[in-house]
Amino acid sequence: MSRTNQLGLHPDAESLNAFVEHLLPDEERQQLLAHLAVCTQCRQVVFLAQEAAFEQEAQKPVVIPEPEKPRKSWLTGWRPVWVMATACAAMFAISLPIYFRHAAQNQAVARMAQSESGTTSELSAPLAEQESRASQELATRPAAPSQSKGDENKLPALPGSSKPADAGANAAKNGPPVAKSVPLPGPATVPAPAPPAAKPQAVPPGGSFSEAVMVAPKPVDAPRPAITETIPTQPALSTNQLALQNRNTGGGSTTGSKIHGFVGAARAGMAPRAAMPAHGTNSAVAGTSRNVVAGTADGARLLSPTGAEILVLVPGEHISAGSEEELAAARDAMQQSLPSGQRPIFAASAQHHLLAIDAAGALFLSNDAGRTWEPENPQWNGRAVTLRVAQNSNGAEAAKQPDKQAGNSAASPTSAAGTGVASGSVAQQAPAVQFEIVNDSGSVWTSMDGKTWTAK
Amino acid sequence: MIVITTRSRSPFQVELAAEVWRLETVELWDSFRLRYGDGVGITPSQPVAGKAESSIMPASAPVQSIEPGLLEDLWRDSDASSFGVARNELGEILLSIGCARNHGQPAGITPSPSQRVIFFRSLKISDLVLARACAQGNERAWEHFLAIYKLPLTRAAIAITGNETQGSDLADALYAELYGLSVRKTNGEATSEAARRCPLDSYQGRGSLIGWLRTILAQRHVDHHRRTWRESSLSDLAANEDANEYDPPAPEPEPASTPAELGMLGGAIELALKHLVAEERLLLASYYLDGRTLLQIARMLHVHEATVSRKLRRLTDDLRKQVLRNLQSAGLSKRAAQESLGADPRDLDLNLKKLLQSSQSEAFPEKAGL
Repeated sequence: MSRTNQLGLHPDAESLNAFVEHLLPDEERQQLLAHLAVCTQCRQVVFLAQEAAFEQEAQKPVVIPEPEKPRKSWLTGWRPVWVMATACAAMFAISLPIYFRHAAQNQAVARMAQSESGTTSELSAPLAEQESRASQELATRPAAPSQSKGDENKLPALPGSSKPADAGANAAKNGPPVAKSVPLPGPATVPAPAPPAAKPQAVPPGGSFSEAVMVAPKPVDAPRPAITETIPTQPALSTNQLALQNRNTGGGSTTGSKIHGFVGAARAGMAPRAAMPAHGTNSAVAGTSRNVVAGTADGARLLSPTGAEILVLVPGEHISAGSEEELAAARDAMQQSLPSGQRPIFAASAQHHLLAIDAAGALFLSNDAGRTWEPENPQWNGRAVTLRVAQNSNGAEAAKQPDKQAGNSAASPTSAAGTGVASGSVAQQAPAVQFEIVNDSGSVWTSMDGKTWTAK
Repeated sequence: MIVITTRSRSPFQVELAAEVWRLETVELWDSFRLRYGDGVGITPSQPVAGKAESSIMPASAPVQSIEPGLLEDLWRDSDASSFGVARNELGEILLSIGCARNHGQPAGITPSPSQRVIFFRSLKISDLVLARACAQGNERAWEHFLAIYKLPLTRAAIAITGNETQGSDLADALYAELYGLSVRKTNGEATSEAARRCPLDSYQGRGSLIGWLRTILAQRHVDHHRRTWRESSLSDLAANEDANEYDPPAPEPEPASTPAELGMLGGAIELALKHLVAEERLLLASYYLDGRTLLQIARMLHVHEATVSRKLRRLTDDLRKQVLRNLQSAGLSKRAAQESLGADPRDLDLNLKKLLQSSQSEAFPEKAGL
């Protein structure tokens, strides 16, 4: 290569490359620009090298970047919160009317319970008194032998808490066990209603039977009434059939389990869901009202004193009925559409009458098990929110009379065998049932036939 | 023998057109390089010998050493040990480059230690070590070089030539040259074989090695084009006038009587072009003389394409106004000056290319005379 074929001096490849790559200092760049302005060859070199560099850049294998996720805005992170907040608001909006509806029902139940409390307390007072006396005896008897021995520090051994080994020792020292020395009540016998000698003390929530006994006055010379009641034993409880005998007026249960509110509500026609177990079988004997409420998986059944079902309360389904057949009719009615085009929110069936109310509070009556419906004119104030079958107070009053004559009748085989629990005091005559409507303000109207309604 | 004297050591400040034209021997060229430094070549494709690096340092340049910590970092970062380059070798290389480039500072300014560190850190030290190791004949370095640069270099050659065959030939020729060819030294009538000279020795790491190789390829291609163009017969070129854009010199025009207005117009244009700065000259030359696109010019100047277009429009407007002012100052009225601008350019005895490329003194204001 001839080195003398051109005139002039040219920057070397190092400088030209640095110019192409924009790496030259400013002063040197200006010098090179001035040279490029007057030198066609160097301009050509620069342009060729530059174009080759760009072509090579363009020929590079294009690496497809991973699809970037769209940039999340600051609001995106709050999206779950918004969704949750919306869901909570929706749930709140839905649950609020339900809450108020149930509150109104509870108020109605409370009023009904209050209205029946007079009768109930009268009926339960003698039995509570007798129960408290028996319990007092149970609590005081075992202490006698130990006191005679001079051992004052020993706590009195309760029959339920004495172990077999200890029982043998006690038998050697103190004679026969205390539990055997106490004449336990025999077969259930309905005692004659007697005037209340002492007002029984209600068992406080969370309290125990023994506490209730300790505060009860002990009638020393009063004759012991014949309490004929079969107390369920512990093995029966272990079979997942919890038996509960609850004296509604505070007499307490011998098993220690307490579902006070359950019984009250059941008698009033409403079983609070909190007190209703989802599984298993619970039974409560409302001895004073002579109604047996058996809580089953299907719901609560209010039994008549004779053991016949008169009310069936199904939790979760707003159905009440007087018998199994009527219960089925009420269930069918819940699946139908009323003449208003809406589905019933409550259905009640008793004495061959089937009643249903819709969400608007309109009442419909069917006498042919739901085949045809007749709208009933509202004879109550406000909007009907609850419909149920309830026990007629007249029927309850009427049920007192056969109790006196019952004597030592055996427990109803239906209640005892069906639920595996003891039956309470039963009557021979079933009380009448009636329909009840509770309006949105908690007032109650009753009707026997579903047509004529009177305020309660 | 021509003795060149100058008061400046900057290679771009020397105008040696007539004298270098007569430099026909390597010895004279080497003596020229010894005097004016490494960053200059007679032709764009002139390889620069690395062996002269130590000798091209100005005699008055203070011999400085690189801080051991910095040298250790650079030596470790460049992976010089794998190519058989020792620390002291790398230090010598860096010192020679720093002295040749005055550590990136303008001539006459003594760089501070921090400026020296910045300069050394700005070098493409890995490419520099690889190039020097290849120049020294390290086999491993050559394997690494070919593995990395063979394909890109061939592609660059094809892109430069626009032809795959010519590109492959150009790349192969460069490979051979890079590997090192013995240079024949002529000393009068005698010819002797000198040591092998590798162009990679002239790489100083200011830009990337692949960019430097592309520039070398472009230089070779331009030289080749000029050689072949010069070797083509005029008849063939005239036959393919449209194809190769060869414009044969027009016959000497008849000495026509030039109107006075045309003469004044030519003088006004020449005067206006003389006052253009380097970048404006480059814009005009690249766009109007070379026919480069706005995009190419924008890439070269590292500005946006629209910026180049705006600058060009403004530049032509200013030139027109300046020519009008020059004409008016020459005694023409405004109307007559505007009418003179409407003259046929072919009637003008004006060589714009020569005018644009004749203002070198303006481009290198610090350049001293011979």
